[in-house]
Order: sequence, then structure tokens, then C-alpha cells
Amino acid sequence: MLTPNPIARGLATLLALIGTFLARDAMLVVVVYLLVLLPLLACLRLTRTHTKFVFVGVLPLAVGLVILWGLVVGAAPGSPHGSAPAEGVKHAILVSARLAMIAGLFQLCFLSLPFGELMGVLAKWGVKSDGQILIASAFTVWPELQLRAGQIVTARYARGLVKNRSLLTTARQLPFLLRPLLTWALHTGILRAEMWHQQNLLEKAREASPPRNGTVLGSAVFVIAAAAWLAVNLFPLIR
Amino acid sequence: MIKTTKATEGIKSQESGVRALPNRHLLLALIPLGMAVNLGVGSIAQMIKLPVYLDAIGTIAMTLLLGMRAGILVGVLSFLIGGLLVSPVLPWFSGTQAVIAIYVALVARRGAFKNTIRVILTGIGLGVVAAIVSAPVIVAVYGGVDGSGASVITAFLIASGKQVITSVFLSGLAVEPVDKILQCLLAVWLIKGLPKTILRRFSGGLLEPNNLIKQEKQ
Repeated sequence: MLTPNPIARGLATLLALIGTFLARDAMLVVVVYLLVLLPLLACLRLTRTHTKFVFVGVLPLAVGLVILWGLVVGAAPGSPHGSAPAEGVKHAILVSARLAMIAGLFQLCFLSLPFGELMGVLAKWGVKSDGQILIASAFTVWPELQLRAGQIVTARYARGLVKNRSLLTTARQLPFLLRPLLTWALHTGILRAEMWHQQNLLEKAREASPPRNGTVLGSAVFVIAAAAWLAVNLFPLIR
Repeated sequence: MIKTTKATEGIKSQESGVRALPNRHLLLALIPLGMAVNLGVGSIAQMIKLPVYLDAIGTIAMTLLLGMRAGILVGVLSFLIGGLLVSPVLPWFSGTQAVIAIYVALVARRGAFKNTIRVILTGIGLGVVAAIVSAPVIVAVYGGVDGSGASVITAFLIASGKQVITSVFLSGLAVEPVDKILQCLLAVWLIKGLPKTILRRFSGGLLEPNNLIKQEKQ
């Protein structure tokens, strides 16, 4: 019922991103993140993806920023060193919350789309057919690479070259992964290009399923909410 | 439409050695794979807390194989999409990736990847360029300290009374050249290790001036 149309989806994301980037109040960003963004992600069943992303990408960064701004620098940017550790911590929280929020907004915009509709939405945003194919391929190739890297490690394990399958031991296989991965990438690329050419797939991709139109109500709700978020953050800067 | 480079104009089929593939198909197939290499290696380096980034190997390798435009696309798109899947820090540095591809393409035309000494010098230059381009982004987005390994140096420089932008630039200069030397060496090592049948498909571009592939006699 609240699905926005592609244009509203793009516009709402853009407004919300600008609003988040302009935000200067750490508490406000945290509150909006917890009370608006997280429930929205949960409704779209993206909680697991987002939580994993936050734990791996945002939390370690947040801890580092709090230590650096709060303890080492001991002040917010532009203030004398050691003058206000609490302000430094507040700045670290603001940066981390903004990054989590921006990541969540992007995930809400792109990952909530059924994959078959991605190219249609990109087309509505004015992305040319080559751009659509590149972006769509980029989303599919990442799991493919993870699978291939896993296969290489498994093969080394089977040959007795890897002692155990702990995270650290697996990560130490990096030097042995590089060459097979690049060779695989180029070889697959060449084969894929030949197949695309033979089957005329690039032309067929243009006829990809069009995106759902969405509802007027859904479009209006998202755009108004994003515009309000932008206004809330813009107003203190103008004043 | 993606414009093609000399590298992809000379692509020949494996069987006949004559039939040329449409360049657009090959570029569209290879760019996402280059992005995957960028993100894959970069995220492993990040996961095991290596003191280097290793997130531009795909950009450097693809620039050498496919040319500047493809390199820019690999770098920029991998960092934009990496912001969704890998780390929220990445999208802000997509401009740095574009500059890396441009720099690599420009110096590679003059044989900057010909031997190890040249590759090391190229890496140092690339590190300086990357530090210059990244510094304003780190100041604008994070206020100067972004939680990476170089941030500790930045924090101490700020604490010692230096200006934020100067501190970020100096800490970048301390870390980036080492990282970029390593990435350039790895990219060349990777390309040299590719099967000749695959490498031959990328002849006519930046590989020959750098002795990464032997020029075929007419």
C-alpha cells in the first residue's frame, strides 16, 4: 500500500541523504535512525542485512572515532585540543550515526526492490541501458565472487594446505586467492561477453520487466517525510 | 554508451585469432568483475585489520587491461556499491578511485609499469596524489579523523597543534605511498601471472608499453 513510485523513491532518498549529511544534532540523527529507519527496514525484511552491515562496518568505526575524538583529540573539530572531550565524543557519535543512516537509506532504496525491477527503476531515473546493466551486474557479481573465493579456500583445505577453517586462517589465504580470482574474473568476463553477444542479451535487457508504479499515498508519504527531515536539518543552518 | 579503448579494439577470439568481439559486451562483462576484485580484496584486508587498504587493485589492473574509462568506472562504481554492501566509508572516496585510474592510465602510457623500480616510483606518486585527493573528503565528512590506521597519526598531529587539513594530508602522506606501492606491485604481479591466452585478448592498449605482454610480430 505504501510502495512509492520510482521517481518518488529516488527523490525521497536524495532529500533524506542531503538532510542526513547536513544534520548537526547527534541525538536527533540517532532518534530518527532508531524510530523511523530501523522499523522501515524491519518492515521490508532488511533488518538482518542492515544489522550485519552495522556490526561489521559501522560499529568498529564508531569505537575508533569515539576513542580518537574523545580521548586522543579530546574536542570537537575546530576546538582547542583537550578542551571538551564530551563534544569530541558527540562528534564521533554524529559521524557514526550519519554513516549508519546513509547506509540504511541506500539499502532501503535499492535492496527493497525486487531484483527484476532494478533495471526498470534505473531507467525511470534516466540511467542509460549500459549503466543499468553495469549496476545490475555489480549487485549479482559480489555473491558470485564470495562463492568463488570460498571454493578456492575449500580446494586448498581439501589438499591439506589449510590447517583449519577459522576466520583468521581463511583470511590468511588472501595471497593465494588473488591470482585465481583475477584469472576467473577475466575468463568469466570474456565468456560472458561472448554469450551476451551470441544471444543478443543486451538488447533483450532493455525489455526488462518495468517497475511497479507504486501508490500515490506511498509516494507522497515518503517524499513529504524526507522533505521534512531535510527541512529540520537545514533550518538551523540557515538561521 | 561506453566508449572503447585501444585495448579492447584488438580483442580477438581464442579459436580463430581473427574475429573481434563487440567491445561494448566485453567492457560491460568485465567492469563488474573488476569491481568485485576491488571489493573482495579490500574487504579481506579490512577484515584482517591489515595496516593497508588494498582497495584499488581492481582499479589499477582494469585500467592497465582495459584503459582509463573502464578503470574509472570500476573504481567509482565499486566504491558506490561497496557503500551498500561492505562499508559505509567507501562511497566518499569514489573520487579518489577515479583519480587513481586517471593517474595510472597517464603514467602507464609512458611505461611506468615496465620494471620494479618504475612500479615503486609510480606507487609513491600515486600515494601522494591519493593523499591530496582524499584529505578534503576526510575533513568534510569526518572532521579529519576517520577511524582508519592513519587516523591515529592525524589525531596526534591535531593534538600537537597542527591544522586539521595539514594533519590529514601529512598522515595520508605517511600511509598512502606504502599502500599504493604495494597495490601497484600486486596489480603487476597479478597481470604477469595471467595465462597468455587471456592476456593476448587485451593487446593494443597499456600492456605493451609496460612490457606486460610481448608485442606480436606482424
